[in-house]
Amino acid sequence: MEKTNQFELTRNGKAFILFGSLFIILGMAIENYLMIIPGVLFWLIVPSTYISFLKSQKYSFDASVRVSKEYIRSRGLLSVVTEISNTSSSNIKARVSLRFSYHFECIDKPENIYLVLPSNSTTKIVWLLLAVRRGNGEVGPVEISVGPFQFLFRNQRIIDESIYIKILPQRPRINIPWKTKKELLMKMVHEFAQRVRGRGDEFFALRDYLPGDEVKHIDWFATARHDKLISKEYEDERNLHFLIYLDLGSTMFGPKFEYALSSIVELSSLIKGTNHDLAVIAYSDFVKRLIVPQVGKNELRLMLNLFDIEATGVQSNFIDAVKFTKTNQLLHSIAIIFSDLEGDLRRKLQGIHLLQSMGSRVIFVNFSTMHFNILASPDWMLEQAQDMNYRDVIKYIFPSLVEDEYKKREKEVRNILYTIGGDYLEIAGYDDNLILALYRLMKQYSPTHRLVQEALGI
Amino acid sequence: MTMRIRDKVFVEEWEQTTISDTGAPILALAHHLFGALALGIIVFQSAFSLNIYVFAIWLILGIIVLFIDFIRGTSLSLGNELSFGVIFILGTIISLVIGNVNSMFFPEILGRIDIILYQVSAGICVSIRFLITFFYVEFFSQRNYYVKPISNYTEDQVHQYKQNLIKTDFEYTDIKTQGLFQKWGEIFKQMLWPIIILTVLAAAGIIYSLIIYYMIPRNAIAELVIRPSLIIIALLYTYLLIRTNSVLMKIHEKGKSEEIDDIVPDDLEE
Repeated sequence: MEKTNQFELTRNGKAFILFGSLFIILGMAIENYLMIIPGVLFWLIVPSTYISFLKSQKYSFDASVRVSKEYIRSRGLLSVVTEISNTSSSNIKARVSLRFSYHFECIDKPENIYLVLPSNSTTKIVWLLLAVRRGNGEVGPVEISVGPFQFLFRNQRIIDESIYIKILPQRPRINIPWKTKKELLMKMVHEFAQRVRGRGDEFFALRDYLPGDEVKHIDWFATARHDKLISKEYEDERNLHFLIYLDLGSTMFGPKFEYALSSIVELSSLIKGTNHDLAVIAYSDFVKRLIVPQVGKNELRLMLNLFDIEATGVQSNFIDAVKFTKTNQLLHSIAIIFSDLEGDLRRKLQGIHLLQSMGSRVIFVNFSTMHFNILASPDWMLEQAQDMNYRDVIKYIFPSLVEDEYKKREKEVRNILYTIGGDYLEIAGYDDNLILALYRLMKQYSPTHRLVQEALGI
Repeated sequence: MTMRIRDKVFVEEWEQTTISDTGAPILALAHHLFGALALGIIVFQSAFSLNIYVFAIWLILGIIVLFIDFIRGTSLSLGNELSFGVIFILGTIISLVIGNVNSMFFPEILGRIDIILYQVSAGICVSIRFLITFFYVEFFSQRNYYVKPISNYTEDQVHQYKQNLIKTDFEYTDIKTQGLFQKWGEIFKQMLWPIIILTVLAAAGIIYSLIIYYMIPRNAIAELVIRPSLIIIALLYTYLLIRTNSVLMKIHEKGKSEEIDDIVPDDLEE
């Protein structure tokens, strides 16, 4: 175990020596005992730290830190164990402090605790931490401070071990029963699987030949029978290929982005354990990250790739991301666009057209700025939002687009989607949920289906 | 500003709890009381000086300090004490400049012993106030809060998590921490040696001045000999403290280099 010892008179300590002398000298000069007595107190305290330092020279520790998990979800719990063995022959009174990054909060016990370490024995301290923010969390180092007045004279043994912990996006708050999810998935397969046909090998039906069909798909026997060109239609293996375009642009900054990430988690929980697959393309002005299609069984692998994605401060370029998927042959999928109506709408519309030409089924999910009511100010982007607490974030919020402009844009997007047979979903604030929105969509396709509320048992 | 839903959910489920050690508010109260007492004594003494300016200045400063203490409540820190000290020095300087030079420290109607008694008692109050602050900074002003589950969901979550860890290496156990009196005891134990040293120093100072008085009885020259020499001793003590610090650092570094010397031959043997 790597260990650093820190012994030093702090700036406070030096100031105390000087103040003490100043008070005493001044007090004696004008014969004022009011000043002499506090000065003497300052003089008393500094030597006491020296003496405790000399006494603590014979103390020897050995310590170790372990954590229960390497990765957890946001709002998940983590157990941290510190074992301190006191190998010297006397009891030690010490303050043990566990340092950790802002991603965590302590539960039931503060991070600094004062305890007596018995001689020749090992003390085990267990901290429970709650992950409060997504990202790359850090636990450690552990500081063992011996002796009084640490703010004057630092007398610490620091165990220089930092453990990095991946904190994945938060599990969605609304707890939707698995049965409902399964039902939704079945409906989605029913609605969408035919529309994304062409990628699989399984024979689906015969139909009239249409220009553009491949020649090898023509069923020559049927053609002979009917005396016209008949081609075979293949269907996908009834597996859905979800392709999520995650906007990392400046308008998706902050808690809104966290919510978009949670929605990905939600969608992946929908396909968990099935053979449907999910790919994520995170883009800003260029494609920042591609998480290659992961089938539902590898849901965790997908999650592990999501933990450190952050929104950037630049305008996003959707058309670029679509071109990227085209070159990577991610065609015929259900393209779900996680974005909003802010910024350059033209690029988004062009991208939607391109997606349609790639044979994808488009679902535009609008994380409505009107509902989330948050946009990042330029200050915030400069000051590295990563390193900020949510509590501080509130300061940087400013109002979004005016309502008329917003309505106009929404209409435009809806029109385009209507012409290409795509769908438009709106996530109305934090109370809404992607699964609920998908349910609403499915209800549009088959209105006879029982109500969403009923299905969710609300 | 309305709270966003996500924060609201967090606040509903987890309560940020500051450690509820019974000592903290009592200490803060005692701290404020001793501050008020010290200023009260000074105001009382300045009333005897029969100088309205001096009295008014100390009264105003006293009220300001009371207000500041009241506003700050239990958030004691070294910075706050600095402002208290600055107010004290400011009051002394202003009353020396504006009032009669003699009125503050040598009021004619009070005897010398009375003045010394007033000053010493005020000084002791200020010292105790400082001491309480040091203690508070040491034990209470650290980041001593944690979150506590309050909703059913989170309570259950924590309970289940603890249950799952039973009989593993990470089993959650409560640990016995030091009590308030134990902490106080530790501080006083550490201050025992310095008190002895300073008592010896003070005794030496008193004996020295008595000897000078014996040699030059009741003479202004005696004062001229005693005070400068005591000031020189104070300077020497300051130097000693600063030097001791650097010597301690050297002792520590020497210990480290010896460890390294021990390691090197082993490596060579390999």
